[in-house]
Amino acid sequence: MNKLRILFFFFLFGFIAIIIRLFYIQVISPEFYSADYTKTSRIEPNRGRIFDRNHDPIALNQTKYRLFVEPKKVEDKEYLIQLLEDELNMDEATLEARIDMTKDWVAIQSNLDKETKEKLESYSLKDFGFEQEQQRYYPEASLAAHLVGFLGKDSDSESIGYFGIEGFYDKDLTGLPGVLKSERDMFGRPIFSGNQERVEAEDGRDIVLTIDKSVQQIIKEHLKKGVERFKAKSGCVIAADPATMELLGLVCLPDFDPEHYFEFTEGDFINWTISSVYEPGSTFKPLIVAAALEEGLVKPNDLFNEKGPVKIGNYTIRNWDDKYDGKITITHILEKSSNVGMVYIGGKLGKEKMHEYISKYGFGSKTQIDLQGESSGQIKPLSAWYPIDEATMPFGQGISVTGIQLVRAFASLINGGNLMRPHVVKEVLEGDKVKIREPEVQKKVLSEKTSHTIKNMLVSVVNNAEAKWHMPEGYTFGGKTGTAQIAVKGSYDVSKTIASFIGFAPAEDPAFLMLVVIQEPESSSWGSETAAPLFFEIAEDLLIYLNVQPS
Amino acid sequence: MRLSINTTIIGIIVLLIGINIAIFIQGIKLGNEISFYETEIASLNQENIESEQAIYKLESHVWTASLAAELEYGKYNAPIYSQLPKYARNK
Repeated sequence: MNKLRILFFFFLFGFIAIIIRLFYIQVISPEFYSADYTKTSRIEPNRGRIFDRNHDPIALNQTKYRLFVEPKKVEDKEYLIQLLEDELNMDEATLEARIDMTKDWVAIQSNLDKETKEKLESYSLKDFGFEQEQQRYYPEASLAAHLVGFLGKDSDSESIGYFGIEGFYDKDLTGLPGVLKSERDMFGRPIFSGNQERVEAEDGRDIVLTIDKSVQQIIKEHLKKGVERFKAKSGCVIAADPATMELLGLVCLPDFDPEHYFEFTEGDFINWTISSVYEPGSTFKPLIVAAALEEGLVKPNDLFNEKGPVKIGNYTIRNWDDKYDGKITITHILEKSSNVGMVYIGGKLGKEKMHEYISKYGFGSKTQIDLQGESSGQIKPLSAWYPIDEATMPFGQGISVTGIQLVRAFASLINGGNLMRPHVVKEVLEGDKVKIREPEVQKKVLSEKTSHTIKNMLVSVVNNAEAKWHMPEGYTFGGKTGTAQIAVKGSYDVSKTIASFIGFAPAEDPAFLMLVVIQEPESSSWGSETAAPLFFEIAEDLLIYLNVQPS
Repeated sequence: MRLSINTTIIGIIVLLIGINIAIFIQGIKLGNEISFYETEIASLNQENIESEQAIYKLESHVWTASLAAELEYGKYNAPIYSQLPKYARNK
């Protein structure tokens, strides 16, 4: 009995001690102890990757390291500063200022690679440590910078995509974070019988683009040489499949390195082809001619008497070369890029129809391309049109368009009359599920017949143009040059132009439609002497790469 | 009879204490294992990211271009058969 009593009291005291301790932990001082055994952490999802149409990577993830120092643990500050100065190439004054001995934790440098981290770790010092940072890795560097955008930080230091695909598809790419709630012992090990809750993170979706990195490379290489050769301020090229408006390539120069975006200014990130507007000049003429053909107001072989300059109120409209050929066909108006002839066609169409077609082609509204930062361009409301607007609009003055709007409208001229939604994403991959992006017809602008007619006229424009270009043999091209002066404070600066060429090949079944824009070229201000030759240089390589057989 | 009941109770208590200790030790072992695999998964994930980066780096145009520059490979070395088919026919 005595033994049992001893045992009883032994257990009783034990239980009372445990109850008192639990009361202290759970009621008197819960804040202090709760964090010790319950570990709650966020499981970061992997950001979705971006691939080109052949599943070659454009954007991946990589791990970088942030070096931190715990000043209160530092034994020899001088030695530490000397070490970091040598290994990180940081100056002594910066390190001295950063390692504030009154603080518990200070960040020294981010963006360190694995080799640097391992080298510093080999010193086996307890003074510093490393934190992992997930970052983007762009294996092709700036090859598709304006198209892809970059991954930066928001005001809360959270990663967020800016511009291009990274910006537009940020939510798809980010994924959903998971949560880990786990009871741990004093050594940080999970307590097996404790509470373990784990909600897995959902990784971001992978995105497959319509662009081809080799097409990008071809375009970029030629554009770079072109911008240098023409001593231009900048340049852009868009190549698309006119039947579907899938973008095959988009390059603007100068560009930026998306991994080191912080070394560039905000202006460098702007994708000129979708965010900036310009007067299209003569590249706009085929759109008005097609509208007049569709309405049955003109035919390709109709004659027009090009007598000389035309007076509209106080303004005189002249041809670009001030030459007038008398009786010419409608096709020849396009071939010689006659402004006077376009005033005639615009007059036949009338301002109401012209405004209607400009809207039908999608000018003045966004194309809904899947890239961040698109602007809508500007067209004047019909009520604000003056007679001079009706006269100049047909040759692309007095209207602001974006490059992508022009390409989309031009595609409708040669694809049977369909206004297609331009797009850059071909597939979205979520685990094993593949979501394919189908081409989308936004509007029917022209009939098949008109499309066929204007396509032939555009082939004739290239074949009978006054400028002679070196064209790859065996292929038929169609296209139109354009030279637009830049409006500065309400008047045109003749020394500053935007030279462009929009064309397609092969004419029978176009593999691509391409817009080449050269801004402020100094060697020659004309599109026919800058953008057009560059177009044919790029086209030659593209036809070979795309394996298009000569006809 | 009484003795055997006491012995049985003590035996059961000892057994329960033993089982508890075994469960406790096993719990620590499993906790260690969970901890080990958590670290392993994290390092495999890390290794995967690094390998992917290394592979794709070798497939990139940037790498090819740097290699070409290193080997002094330029346009003058490239075949031009597609533009001038007569070269292809020459043997």
